[in-house]
Amino acid sequence: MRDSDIVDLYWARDERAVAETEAKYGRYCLAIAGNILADREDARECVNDTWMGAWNAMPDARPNILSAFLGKITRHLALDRWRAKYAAKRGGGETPLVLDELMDCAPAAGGPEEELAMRELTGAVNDFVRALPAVEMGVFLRRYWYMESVKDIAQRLGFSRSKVKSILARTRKKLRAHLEKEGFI
Amino acid sequence: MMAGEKLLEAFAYVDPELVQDARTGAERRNNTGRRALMIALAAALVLALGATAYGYLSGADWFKTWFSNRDREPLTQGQEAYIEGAAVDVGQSVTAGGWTVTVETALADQYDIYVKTRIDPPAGVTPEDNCKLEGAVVLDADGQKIPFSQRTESITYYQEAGAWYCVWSQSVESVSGETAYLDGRPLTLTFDSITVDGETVAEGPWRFTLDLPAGGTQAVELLDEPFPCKGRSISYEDGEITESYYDVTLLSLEVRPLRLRVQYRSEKEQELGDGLPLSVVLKDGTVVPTGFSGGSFGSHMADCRYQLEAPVLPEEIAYIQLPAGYTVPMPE
Repeated sequence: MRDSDIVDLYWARDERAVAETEAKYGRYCLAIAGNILADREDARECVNDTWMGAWNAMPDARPNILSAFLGKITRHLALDRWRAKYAAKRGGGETPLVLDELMDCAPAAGGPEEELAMRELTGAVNDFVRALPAVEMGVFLRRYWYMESVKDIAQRLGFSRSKVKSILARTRKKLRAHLEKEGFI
Repeated sequence: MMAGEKLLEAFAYVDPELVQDARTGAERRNNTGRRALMIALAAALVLALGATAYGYLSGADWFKTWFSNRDREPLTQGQEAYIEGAAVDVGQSVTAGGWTVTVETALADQYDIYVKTRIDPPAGVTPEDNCKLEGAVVLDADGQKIPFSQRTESITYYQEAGAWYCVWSQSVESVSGETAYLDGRPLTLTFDSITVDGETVAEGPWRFTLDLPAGGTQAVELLDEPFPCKGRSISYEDGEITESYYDVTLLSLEVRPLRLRVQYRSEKEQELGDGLPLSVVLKDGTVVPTGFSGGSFGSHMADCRYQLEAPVLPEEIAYIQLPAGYTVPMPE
């Protein structure tokens, strides 16, 4: 079924929307949740919650790209679950590794203007990603959006692991410079 | 929320089109480029042959496009000539469990092989992501399985027009490791299963017998005595990349059209393999990057393979670039 037909089902409050979404994007969302949590049961629960999230978000939202819309919900739910369950002991999937990698280019947390700063930060991140060369963008988003392991990225793109690590290090360095220039660091 | 988590949260709002591109984009962009190039090549072929209905894209043309896209550099005449001499159209199909695997084309030097396979699902099945061929087994001409330590492989998957494609490459030296495996002798390649997102959807075997030309190019040894140089170590601290160098002695540096093989001694054991990034510089100034693709390691010793991002002809090489400005020239 085409994505636009699935979205139409959500807008019509037709429960087949969930079954069709699961059939088409179940594995995709499971992979994202699995990368973050590394626990199949937790990941499955996140994916089930994703369908509920999509059901609640539409009809207000009409996503142009359904996969990214669903992936974003899954990612958000999985990170929430990771915080609640694993953060203290630093376990679970790629998340602690990714956080360690990002620590060097992360802006300071907290502050009364956090919500406004967050909106500005997302804009700065968006500008940064949009300006990246294609290969760097692909590797960067696979790591920090989809939270894929370096090994999986290397295999998927036909690079050595050292090349992937090197691209990521170079891109993080650029990100830090960009965020410094924009006044976030 | 920790600072790193804040940044991770911000990534969630990246433009959905970019996010989608990251999943399919590297392949899609390449495919777009490849399709455009394939169309151009096919059109040129049609004109050349005076055909009226359609053009036929040979395995050589496909590999030229693929390597050019991969290396993001136009190929030299020598590189194109090598591919034309070595690439063959295979066209063998095997169906098991409703899934058809077709070896469409292959390219080999005397030690390494690239195989382009197409994976067609049963009617009505459309795998969305992560469709993979598993359990590749290579038998040499005497039926002996090439041991893992002598295999270095890299696999690239992409999806196009409903089918999945797998470009699989592997070192195929003989069991002894001393002699060229591919020397006009058939190679047996077997895949055991197909998985979609990690779950097995069909059991094989899909078995192919490939009789390939070896490309006619021998490996060239660049060293006649040990060559002292430097390995590179990278550390990331305080947001800065710091490079440092340590002593390495190359014992052998062998150039092949598809891969470099380097045997060396290093003072720093933990950096073996990754710590010796190499590139090949051609006489016209073209730089062909390599990726470390595996090897065997002993105490402070390494025997490593580096896959070239595009084939090279030894006579076109000026030198091999090593870390810290060291170079090894091609022998006259």
